[in-house]
Amino acid sequence: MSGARAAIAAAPSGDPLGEGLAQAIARHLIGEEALPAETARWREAVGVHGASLERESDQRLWTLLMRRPALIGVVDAGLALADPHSPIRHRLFLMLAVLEASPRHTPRFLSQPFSRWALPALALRMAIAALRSVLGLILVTAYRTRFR
Amino acid sequence: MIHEHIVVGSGMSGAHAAQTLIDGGREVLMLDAGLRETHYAALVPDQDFVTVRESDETQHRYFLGDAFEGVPWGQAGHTLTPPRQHLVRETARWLPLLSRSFQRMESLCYGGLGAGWGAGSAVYTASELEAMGLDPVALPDAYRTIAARIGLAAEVDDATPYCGSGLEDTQPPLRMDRSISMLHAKYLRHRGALSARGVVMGKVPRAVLTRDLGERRATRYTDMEFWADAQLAVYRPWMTTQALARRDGFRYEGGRVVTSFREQADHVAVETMRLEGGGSETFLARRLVLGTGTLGTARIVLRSLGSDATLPLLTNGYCIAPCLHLAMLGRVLERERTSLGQLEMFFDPGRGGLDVRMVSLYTYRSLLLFKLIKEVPLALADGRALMHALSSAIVLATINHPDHAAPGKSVRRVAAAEAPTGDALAVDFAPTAIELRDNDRAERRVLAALARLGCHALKRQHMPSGSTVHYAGTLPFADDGRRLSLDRDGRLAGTRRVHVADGSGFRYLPANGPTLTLMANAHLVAQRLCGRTNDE
Repeated sequence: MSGARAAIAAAPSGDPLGEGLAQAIARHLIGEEALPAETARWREAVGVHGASLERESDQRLWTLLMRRPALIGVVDAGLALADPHSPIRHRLFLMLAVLEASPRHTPRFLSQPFSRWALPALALRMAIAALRSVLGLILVTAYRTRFR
Repeated sequence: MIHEHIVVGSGMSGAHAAQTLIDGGREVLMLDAGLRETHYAALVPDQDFVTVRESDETQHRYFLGDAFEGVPWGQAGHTLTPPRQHLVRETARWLPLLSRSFQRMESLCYGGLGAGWGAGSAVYTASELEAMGLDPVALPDAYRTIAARIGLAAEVDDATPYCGSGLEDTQPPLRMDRSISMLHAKYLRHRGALSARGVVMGKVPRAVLTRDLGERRATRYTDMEFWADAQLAVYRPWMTTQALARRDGFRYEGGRVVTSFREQADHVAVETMRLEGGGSETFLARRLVLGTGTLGTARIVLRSLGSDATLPLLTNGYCIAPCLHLAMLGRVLERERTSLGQLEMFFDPGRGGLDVRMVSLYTYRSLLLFKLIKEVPLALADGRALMHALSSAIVLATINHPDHAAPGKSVRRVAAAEAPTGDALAVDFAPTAIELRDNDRAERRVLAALARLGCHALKRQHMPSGSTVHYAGTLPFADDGRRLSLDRDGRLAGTRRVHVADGSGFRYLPANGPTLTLMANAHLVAQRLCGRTNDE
């Protein structure tokens, strides 16, 4: 079982900021797991920043992510277009900041030289990202419409 | 006790007015709020950015802040790094400002806004000085005096006529990093064509040491200027105040906000409130020199005169354009570099007029990637992958516009019962349609010039009015002694003993930052005071 799947499997269903979901978010953002100290820092950041879910549609979306962490990427992509300042994206953003400010994940953020032949691969990834955004937009809009 | 001079504020204007007075053998009491940063200073290691990123387990404390105050959310804009957030501590309480159209930054910290200054030190042209109401004959010497005090890194290049004429004994310029060097090299190959379109490039003098000066050390290019500066390579006005504290005739009183003054027959009474406890205290002086910054001085003057007048206000229009420098794709920035601006572009459509635009070029690394990723309209994971690949090729072009007085740009004093002083400033700031049109045209032409150099704008982000932190023009210089104006010596009309040493008098604000001119003007105001007796 991969680290991400193990983390997702271990996600406690009742805790909205549980360790399993935190690990799934970290895997989504940088493809690596976070240290327990980093996930604790993330929970603290969510509390300090007051990234609370006031709207029912946001609560439902977050519950969806807890049940189906594999959808984090799609929801994130949809929100980037539909509601870039939503509290859900805020929470993901706080994890991104926490992960960047940790020496363990430095290679995921500091630039490395690469061959220009790698640019087509980057372009392909961005094409997939755009597709994911379209799917996410449909999903997020459906939730917004249903749980207005 | 009646002091000879009271100088209010320890920022650029206050510090240099005080130094000139002390150099002239005068006695000075400096009144200042003087808040200091004590929380993060000891945490930041004296190492380069990449080493810090790779090794420091506690970096989250100063990069994000212990209360995550360094993690911005919402609309794009400037965020002070946690070690710099003391710049704005207590300002909402003590310096309230109401506005829907203006984003101000004022400071009650030791050294004022200069504690966060980007070190750009432009010398203005004679026509710009004339338009501002300053003396183009006296300023060149004042610029040289300030340059000798603070240390300027500069060289003669194509931009010198716009920002560096007449400086002497400067230090070697800051090194450019790989990306900016490549841009500059390409500019040199295209300079003829660009010059024909009114575009030149070069370096604005910077108050950064490239050689040791006194107790300060030359920059080690650690790329940590936004977080710490153990070498004291970048000039900050607190350095001047700290040095003055060791000299005879100078006394510093911190922890106080100056609220108003009252002119008496042979002295000025200066009213203050203590930041802690709120008690009031009065100081007396033969002469008062206000160096609290344009908005701070407006508050004190309007309150002291009991005036409900509407004052003019100037601030530079400002746009940030993230650009992709194609030649840098696949390459990385070197470890040793500076986070400060490295190269400027001047766009002069009128050839020497008052509509010159300045573009500062920055490469991006030390403010961390997550702040950029937030602005990418993709999932954060995809934004991270994109920025991880492209960040070395990102060049931030910050486009600054000049500003002229106009009816829609003003500040006034209004009642505010909840404020300790019972009042607040209210700012309305609406550039005219013609200004907005001209700015838009200039931005397009500047970005077209950058594109010719292989640097393509991804978007234009227009920042709210006031976000350059350059404010001026509330008490414009005038020779006719009209109310709420300054004479050429900085004396407030209608008073005998109250002088203003900050940018309040500037009638025009050029695009390239006013900081060196603020210091030079403060020096001149103080120099003229040194030539007077206390009864003149």
